[in-house]
Amino acid sequence: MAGISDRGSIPLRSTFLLNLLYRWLDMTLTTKDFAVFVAVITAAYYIIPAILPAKMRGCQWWIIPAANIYFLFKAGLSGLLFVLGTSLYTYLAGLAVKRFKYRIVPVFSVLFYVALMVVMRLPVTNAIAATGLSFYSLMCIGYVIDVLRGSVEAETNPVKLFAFVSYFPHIIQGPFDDYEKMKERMFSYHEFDHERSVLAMYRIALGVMKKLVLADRISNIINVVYADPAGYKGLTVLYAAILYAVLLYADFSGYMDIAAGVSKLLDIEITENFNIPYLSKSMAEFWRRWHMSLGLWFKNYVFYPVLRTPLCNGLRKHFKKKKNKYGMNVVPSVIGLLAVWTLIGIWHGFDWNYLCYDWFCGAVIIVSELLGPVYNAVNKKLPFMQGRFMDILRTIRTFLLVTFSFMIFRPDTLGDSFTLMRNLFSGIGFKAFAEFVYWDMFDVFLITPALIIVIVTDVMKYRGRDIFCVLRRRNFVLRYAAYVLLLVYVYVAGYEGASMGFAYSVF
Amino acid sequence: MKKFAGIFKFIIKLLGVCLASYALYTLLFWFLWEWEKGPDAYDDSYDRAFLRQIKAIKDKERDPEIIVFGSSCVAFAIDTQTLSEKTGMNAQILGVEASIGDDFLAGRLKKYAKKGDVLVYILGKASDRAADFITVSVAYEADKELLKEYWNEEKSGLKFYRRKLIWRKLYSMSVAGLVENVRSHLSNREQIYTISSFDEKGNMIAERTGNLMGDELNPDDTIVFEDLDADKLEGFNNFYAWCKENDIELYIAYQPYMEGSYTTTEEGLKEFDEKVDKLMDAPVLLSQKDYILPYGYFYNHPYHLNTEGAVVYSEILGEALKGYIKER
Repeated sequence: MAGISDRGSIPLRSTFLLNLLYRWLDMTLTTKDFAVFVAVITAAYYIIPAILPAKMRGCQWWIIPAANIYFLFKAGLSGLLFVLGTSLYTYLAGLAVKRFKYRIVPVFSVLFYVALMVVMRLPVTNAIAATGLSFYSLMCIGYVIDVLRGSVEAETNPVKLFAFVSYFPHIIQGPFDDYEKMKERMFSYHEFDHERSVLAMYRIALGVMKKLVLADRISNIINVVYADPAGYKGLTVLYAAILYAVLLYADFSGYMDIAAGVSKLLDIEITENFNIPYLSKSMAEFWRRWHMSLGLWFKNYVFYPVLRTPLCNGLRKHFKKKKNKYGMNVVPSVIGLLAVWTLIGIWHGFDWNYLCYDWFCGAVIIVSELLGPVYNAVNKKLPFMQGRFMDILRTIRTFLLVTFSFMIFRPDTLGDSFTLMRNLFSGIGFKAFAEFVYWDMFDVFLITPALIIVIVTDVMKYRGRDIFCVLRRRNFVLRYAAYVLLLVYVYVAGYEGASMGFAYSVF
Repeated sequence: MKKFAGIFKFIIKLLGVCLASYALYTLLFWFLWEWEKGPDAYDDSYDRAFLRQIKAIKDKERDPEIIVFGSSCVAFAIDTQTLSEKTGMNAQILGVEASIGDDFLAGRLKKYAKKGDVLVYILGKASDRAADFITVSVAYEADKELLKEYWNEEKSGLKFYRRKLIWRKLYSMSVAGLVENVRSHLSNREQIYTISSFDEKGNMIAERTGNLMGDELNPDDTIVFEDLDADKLEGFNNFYAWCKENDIELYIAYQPYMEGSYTTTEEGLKEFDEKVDKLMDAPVLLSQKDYILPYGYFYNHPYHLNTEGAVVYSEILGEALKGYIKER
């Protein structure tokens, strides 16, 4: 009997190991596979170092590159090799920039990444690159420039740099983290903290709700409109456009909540990407609150360098001579903004919709900048312009403007965008709108509680209160009832169709 | 072990929350769908008429009768009284909408049809093959025995749709009434989709007068041979063989078509009939063109007749069926 049992156990064990290695896993952040992966990584991250002798606890961070490798491997072997290659290149580029002070080295490195992003977006090569190429390429560029500027030391350990570049919570959709800030958190020893982990779980649950209930269900409602823009008009187009604005926020910030929550479990804070963007009072403020790390990246590595170019310096001198303070400040800024918005458009993809969308956003910000003195004068002369009511109106105006800009971003072609915009103003179409809403009442019914939760969370955040901390202070029964209800709600109301994937994972 | 106390406490709490959530979810499903005294949110629903039809056919005491089955076109096109007068046999309708599924209807007839019954399948474009799990569950909701019997047949369906069943019922219990009221105020269409629109025989008794459709006729609404699901027709040949073995008659008839909406030529119609005749083992009653009716007989859909149209269509069908019934 022993023999039979022994013979039986070998294939069983090997099958398990083979499954672990070769079974296809869906590592999308809302799947069960990913949840199991995070649970195993978190347990290993805290338990393995704790059972090791004290002097070896510093090796805790090795679990991160190991997790990254597994995560990338499950997404595709070519992607893993690609990230390994680019990480090695970044490591060597960092050392070269430090060793050789010639400007050609960083310039060549940056051009290499730009060329990589261009080449890998071609249909022929698209399958080779790991998802998130646009995100980690910018992080690599940032690292090389920082080494050149001396704001960060060139990393001498290639594994550490790989751990940073390929860090699984931020590799697919960002945020764009700064190596200097990250390395301190990533490579130090962390002990498990109950309170922190509970807060991390809240954040993950909120993110999953945003994605599965809000984003995926809204997608189900509005995709028909974007598939046939000529078939809808007036209120239906407005309704679809507003819902798309909610969808994009729920999708992208939902991803960020999950990524930040997972990272918080490992006690590694990643950069925040959203700060209640739909409560902004101007387009410029919106972009300081929406995809914040992208804005910060372009500000640091494009906007400021453009301001220091001979052209901008020359213009500044020219206006200074003419004693034109307005021109001296505004004209170089406008040139910098033009460069930033054009590059963000290209970064989004080789697509006229993206480019026009980013130009539109840039144009609104530039016009606001140009008219800044006029606004200030009017605001000073008319006291009612500074009241709370006007702030609410400005918030609504900005939301509608952002919603309108997404009508350029979302449709498949620029032609479709124009069709939608034309149809938006070609009549009210109340009856068609009522029917459209009626046919998706199930989805509207299911997303309403999620929408209320997100609005309450954001409004509380705007007032400086964290809903998670407020909940933590409630009594045991109320707190746990809230957890259980939220979980059941997300499970029941989550979209039951095939996962739509995260909107920004295509970039 | 002390150093792991924090992580264990966290894991236990997490598992506790997951278990409590699962328990609440299970309890919620049991309360909404499985408990005999649970809420019945569909007592006024259109689909509930189907349960009444099933119960009528299931009745062991009934005499053999004509059972006309198919999609919603059956509910809108058949007047059982006219059919009985024409044929001299009692008639019963089985079918309220396409999503009940033809295979499901045939399956129920295999269970409940009796020797001497005359089954008439109305072949049409709208008929789905497979049953929609939610529609059948909604229809059966008031009869837990039938409901559980169906769920036992469709275990994978139940697993997949369990969550949807919960929110569908919560929706019906909370906002559905308000939404339907608002809709009926906004819409100029008569709200006929309630159980009170049907009688025990499955006739649509709600008064349907005139034509609520626009004047536009859509060629897509007419059937071409390619629209027919070959597998479904093959399935009906098996069903026909089963009927013969059990001394039950099965005939096939066409759904009503709107005059002017058919885009094919006379030859096209003939070819269609020939193909169906060739493919189907069961006798086909008349040809497709015999079921073409004027625009004025249609109600709110190109396959739905108004009250007057239902009488005319039932006369055509009864007349055709009479010949076969007399022959036996």
